[in-house]
Amino acid sequence: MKATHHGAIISAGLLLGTGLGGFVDGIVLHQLLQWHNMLSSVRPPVDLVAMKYNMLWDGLFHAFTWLMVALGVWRLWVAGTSPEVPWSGRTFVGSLVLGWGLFNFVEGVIDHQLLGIHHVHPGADELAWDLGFLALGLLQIAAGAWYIRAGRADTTPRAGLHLGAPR
Amino acid sequence: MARLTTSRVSAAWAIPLALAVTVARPALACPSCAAGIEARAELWSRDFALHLLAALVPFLIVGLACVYAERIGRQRAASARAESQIIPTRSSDDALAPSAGAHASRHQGSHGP
Repeated sequence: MKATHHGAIISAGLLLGTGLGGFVDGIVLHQLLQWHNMLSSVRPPVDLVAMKYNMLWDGLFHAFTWLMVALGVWRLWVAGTSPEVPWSGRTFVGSLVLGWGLFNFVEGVIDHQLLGIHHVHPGADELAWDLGFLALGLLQIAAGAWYIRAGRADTTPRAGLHLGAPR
Repeated sequence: MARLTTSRVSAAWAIPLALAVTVARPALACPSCAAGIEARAELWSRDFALHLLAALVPFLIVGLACVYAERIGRQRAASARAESQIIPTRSSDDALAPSAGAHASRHQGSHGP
């Protein structure tokens, strides 16, 4: 019998990809570059109170990304202890990239385009930045899906797990 | 010697003084400052639920994608398990067939002309 339950490792990768991608977003865009703050179009961070208000919302965003990472670690642990789950690096990395891209795309469509609560780089060219962000998300989704597909050939469970052994 | 003692005394005074300054400073600085208090008050007053939903929805959508992936994976694993249970039965049938044939031929052979 082959390990064919790719779903568990894909799920772990999606959660971890979302969480780690969210941290890249939060650290690089929000904190280092000081763009893309959570409610910067609702309350532009131009004075100390507005900056602190955005900082609070950025903190909530980071709390959710932390939660995704924690859930991802849990699912990865479950996947690693199941003999039905193939321990495939390609599936896992593909899922990480897919999760990151899916999150960027969904966040871009909802928060940037539909609700307009913030933009990637607020200002004159904000639409161009937002579209670039969406394009990057789609590219990540395509690359991740392609790598997951390549990982379908991997059917060996994690070393030390024997198929059919009682759990 | 007297100089050393004096420096010891001043060091002994310097530690509580530094501690007092360290403790006193945050009282004047944020998060207890006016800007911090105002920002925290605004958090609840300005469409909190809508903004929280906006922040949460992308995470929830990825979460749903994970649930879907796990479900599909489980279904595929179940069908693969079912196939692997069928295949040995077929192979055992196949394994039986030649031996049965051989047995039959042996049987025929023994009663042959």
